[in-house]
Amino acid sequence: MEKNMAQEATDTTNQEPKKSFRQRFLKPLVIPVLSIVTSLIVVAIIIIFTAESLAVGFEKVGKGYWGIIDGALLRSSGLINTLVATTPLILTSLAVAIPFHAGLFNIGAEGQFMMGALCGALVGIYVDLPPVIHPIVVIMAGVAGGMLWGFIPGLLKAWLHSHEVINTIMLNFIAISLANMLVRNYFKDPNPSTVQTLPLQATAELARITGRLHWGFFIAVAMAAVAWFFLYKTTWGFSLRTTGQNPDAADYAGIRFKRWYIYSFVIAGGLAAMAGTIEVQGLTRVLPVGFDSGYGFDAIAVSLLAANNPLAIIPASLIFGALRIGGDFLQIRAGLSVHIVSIFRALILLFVAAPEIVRAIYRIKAKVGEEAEVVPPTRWG
Amino acid sequence: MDIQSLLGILFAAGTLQLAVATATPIALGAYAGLFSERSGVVNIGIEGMMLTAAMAAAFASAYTGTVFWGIIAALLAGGLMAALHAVLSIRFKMNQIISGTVINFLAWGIDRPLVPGLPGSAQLARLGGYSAEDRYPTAFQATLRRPDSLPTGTYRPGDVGPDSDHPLRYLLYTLGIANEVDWRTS
Repeated sequence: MEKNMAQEATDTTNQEPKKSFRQRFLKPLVIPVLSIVTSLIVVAIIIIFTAESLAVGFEKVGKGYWGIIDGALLRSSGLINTLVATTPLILTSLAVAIPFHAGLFNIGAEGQFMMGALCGALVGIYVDLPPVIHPIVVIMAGVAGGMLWGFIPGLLKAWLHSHEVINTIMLNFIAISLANMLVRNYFKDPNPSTVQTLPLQATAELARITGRLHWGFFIAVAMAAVAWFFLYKTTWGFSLRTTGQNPDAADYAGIRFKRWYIYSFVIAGGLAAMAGTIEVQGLTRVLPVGFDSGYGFDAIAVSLLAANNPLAIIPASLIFGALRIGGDFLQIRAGLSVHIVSIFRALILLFVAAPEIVRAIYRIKAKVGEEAEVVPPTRWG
Repeated sequence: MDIQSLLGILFAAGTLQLAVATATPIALGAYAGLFSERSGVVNIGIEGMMLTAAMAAAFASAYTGTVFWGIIAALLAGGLMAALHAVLSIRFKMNQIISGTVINFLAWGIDRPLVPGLPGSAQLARLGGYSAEDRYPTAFQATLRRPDSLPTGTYRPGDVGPDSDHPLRYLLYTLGIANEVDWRTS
């Protein structure tokens, strides 16, 4: 029953006239690209006006922006670092995007990331397995931990109608503190100079391709493709998206929308956790205290920049990865604070989420149906 | 640890004082959430509003040398961020959770580059240079509790302890009572 209804609905959507290349691929790019350009301009204005003089300000902007491009993208070492930073961003952004399609906000990617890192690291350190099987088991263990962490807010949402934003934010604190507490008190490397776990067994590591770049990058890209296929080409994905667009209609069509609330969070938890596990296996190869570095929060901005499209998340993550690495060059080359990158992040999020601002600035007319509707907020209570 | 020593720690005078001092920013933040929520506004940008206000207060009181302008600046800065939240969600129809996130990101981005210009420099020397009677600036340190927003060594938790009779705290109690009355009469 559920399948038939869903199948019928998919057929009707396929009967729409085919869109041209321009409409399909170029039009959706207008707002994100203009958002990034506008943010760059606004930040440049801020830098110029806070500098000692106009000339110094312009020099700082030029040096800083060139530093980001040169340092994060053009040099091979910088490009490798950018790709390394992109890897967890792709996966955590997918973890934000998939619940978004189900109409839910996942602010808890950071906590799910930590649970994945914790569970994966423990299996990688204390379980003995042969070489090829070990990394796979480690990833599976991490993903299982993250799924469990995603299951909690999903269940609370479906069962008790408690607001997922509050629950995921709170579970972030719990996961981060739990991981830090366990590492500090129970799994600490006996060497007194370091506060971290023992190193992962050699069999559990993900191989590196060149420099710090490890195979996790390709796993992340593959997962983005899988997520795209899941969302747009399967009945499951259709059920999930219908749940997000209109839970009542989904219910009427026989889709058990409450289950999809839970499933979407479980999938998200698994993806964010995979990011954490891969980061431990490929990059750090130990789990230090304070492993969280804000990938789960950046993911919200990345996911919105990509309009929650899993494939668009790959280039969007690359931009944010480059900003992360480029922030250091902002400081080295132009003497600006690393945290200016956070202003970038805020502005990009602002312009992407309120396209009317961008349309007003560049005098772009919105087509009928493109105007934003008032989004009624869902209250916590 | 046995239960007696635990209770001993919990009910020691210092602990209670520190608890009241630590609770002040939390409770004021909670009131921010309460007022938003009562009018149907989802506000996850409280953190960002507090950070910006703390920054503005620290700057204003450092440059003017008085607490009064610090409080005024904090009120204005917090109100400005709230106005941004309002414009984004009403005029530009942005989802309120996203605009709250924007405010948090923005506050992190604005505060941290500014902080090195403040504590540890000449301004902080002025901030820390108050006489024993005029302890108000320590309250701003309480709102600046984020460990990464101050260079190490400029803040010690003990600083806040003896300051439990800060006027803002009485404002807090008044707010609590006002809300209770409102709750019972509505």
